[in-house]
Amino acid sequence: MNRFPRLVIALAVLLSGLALLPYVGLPAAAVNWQRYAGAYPYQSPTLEIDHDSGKPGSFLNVTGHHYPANSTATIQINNHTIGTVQTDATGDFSFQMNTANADEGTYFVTVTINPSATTKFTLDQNAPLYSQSGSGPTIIVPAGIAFTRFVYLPIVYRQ
Amino acid sequence: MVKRPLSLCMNTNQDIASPKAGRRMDKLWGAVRSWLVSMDWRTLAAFGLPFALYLLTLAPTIYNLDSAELTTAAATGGIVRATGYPLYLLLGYFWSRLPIGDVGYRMNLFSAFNGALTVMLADRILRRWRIGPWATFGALGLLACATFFWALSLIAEVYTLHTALMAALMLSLLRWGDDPTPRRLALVGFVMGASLGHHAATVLLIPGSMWYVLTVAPRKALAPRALLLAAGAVLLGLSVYLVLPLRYGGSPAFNYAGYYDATGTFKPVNLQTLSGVWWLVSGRAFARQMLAYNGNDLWSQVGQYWTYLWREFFAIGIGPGLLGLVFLLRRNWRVGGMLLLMFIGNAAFYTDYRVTDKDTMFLPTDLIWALWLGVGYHELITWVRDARDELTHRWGLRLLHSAMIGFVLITAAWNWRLVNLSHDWSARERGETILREVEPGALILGWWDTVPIVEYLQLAEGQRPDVWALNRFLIGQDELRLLILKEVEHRPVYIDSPPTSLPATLEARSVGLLYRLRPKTDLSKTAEGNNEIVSQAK
Repeated sequence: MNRFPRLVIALAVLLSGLALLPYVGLPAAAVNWQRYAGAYPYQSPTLEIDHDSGKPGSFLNVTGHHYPANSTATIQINNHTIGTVQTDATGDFSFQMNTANADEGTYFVTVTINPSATTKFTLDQNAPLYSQSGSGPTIIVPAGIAFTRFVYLPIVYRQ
Repeated sequence: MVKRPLSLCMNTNQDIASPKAGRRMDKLWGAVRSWLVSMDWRTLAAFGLPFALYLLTLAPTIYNLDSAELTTAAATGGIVRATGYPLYLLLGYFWSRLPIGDVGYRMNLFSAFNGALTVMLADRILRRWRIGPWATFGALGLLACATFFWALSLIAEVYTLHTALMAALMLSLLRWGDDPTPRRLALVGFVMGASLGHHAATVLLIPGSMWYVLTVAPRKALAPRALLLAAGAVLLGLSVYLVLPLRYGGSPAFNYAGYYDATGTFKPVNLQTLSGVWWLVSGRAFARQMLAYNGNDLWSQVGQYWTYLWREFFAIGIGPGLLGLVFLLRRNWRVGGMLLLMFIGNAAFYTDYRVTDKDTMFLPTDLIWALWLGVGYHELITWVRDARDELTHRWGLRLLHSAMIGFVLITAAWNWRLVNLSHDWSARERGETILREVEPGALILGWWDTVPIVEYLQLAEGQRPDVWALNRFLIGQDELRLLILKEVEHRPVYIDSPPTSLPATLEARSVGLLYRLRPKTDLSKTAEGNNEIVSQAK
């Protein structure tokens, strides 16, 4: 009688992997060259903004391409970490920036995973006001981080 | 009067019917019978069953991406990108001379052979551990039918040769463990060197190998004579790297170790210098993809690897595999430690490697998991067999055996439709379509799914030698732009996808599978419809 559990335990071990089947699933995608056709052409990530200047209070839309797929990217504006955004299965993402609290000035937006890309925009009272039009998560550009002064240094080099 | 067997008496062939011939036939039959009796049927099945499965599903001709690159390089004496794979190129050169199918098919067959060889060598390992045939069939059957192991046994690729060499390395280590003589250690060194000469990822097996050698018989391993012999054998195995400078010296038509400049001149890495060879074999071209994840992304990759492993062993192999890992560590911590270190090395490295096709690179961990699975199955069978009551003993064993065979058959049936390439001519058709569509003297610029297959058709089959195909992997963005501007003036230029920095003076028009690049003025002269223009530079 006490031997019967042996078989039950053996079968339980044998079939234990099936317990996670609902979460993991079975192989479903065909393995062929089309699946990996885009594997090696390394493309640098790109970051685009729909308007490079706007009135404070504008909503600006940022889209990124060629980032690592299904990863979390960190958003920095003028070296301040503002939030994160998730890339999709093709390495793209988009988000909106709400500039209602932001000051006039220049802003550099950098989105980083391991590769990173940067774009910039300027807030100016004389620029057009853009209302909310895009999709994706919204991040708020905080006050007090605008760049308002730039120092341009000459480059000297020896030939 | 010599009495002859009836069957021979009835034969009208005078030579065979002679007494001498009869004795010869008896002798021959006796030899065949004793050969059949003495034959190692288990080894034959361990090789033959997966090989037959792979033959039935093998890609019938040249395949795309890396397969086209490897096939072309192996067959034409060329050079591939990092990490060079000199042993594959050397063996492939001879294998591609087999008088069967086209060159592409032959190199696909080479992968099938190596996949089956891996299973056969894994069987030898399990036999050393006295794992019974049911457990071995169940474990190695799941390995042979695992999605990626199976898929990569059907096309020209480097991975199944790598797993075969890995299994050979483990076997040579175990053999040395039985009798730690300097000669046996030298064999380990030779296999290690040859394996390094094939795939640089063999370095991931070194910690496990060192662990085994230094825990089994450190004094014997570190004795000067043994060390000297082993070092010499490693160097002998590594001597396969001489293939690279030798091939480089012949200025091969197919060379992926280098880059193109803006004039379209190929600048090969000098493989007759140590620094050049080191650049290639160390994989520096892919350095930024290594150790590429951190934080949450790394955990996400770890999760994806376990999902991969789960699916490879069809969920069934996970529980018994873990059981086997634990039992092996408890029963023989030296061997168990060796396998664990090899597993961790490979799983950790590729988990943290940022490429989209890394699912194809985990086969070494598949092999190790299959060995653990064999041990786990064996333990379950032994445990149930040792039951005292007849019912459990008899029916329990039958149930387990049936389940182990059944799982293999279900996995094979399920994965067949995912991996079967026996009717896949798509790569050849793509290449031949491109060559048919481009004008004489054309320049074709493309990525991996376009150019290697064209180069195969040109170099291995002699099609369209007038066309110049250039892989965009081998040229930078700026150089590509300048090259296009230069070449578009005096030859037809085609590209697989227009670059984002396409010069403003050019337009790209869809022509079959490619885009034809032309100066804008040419289009206006030929008065071709603007509706055909699919891409225009800003």
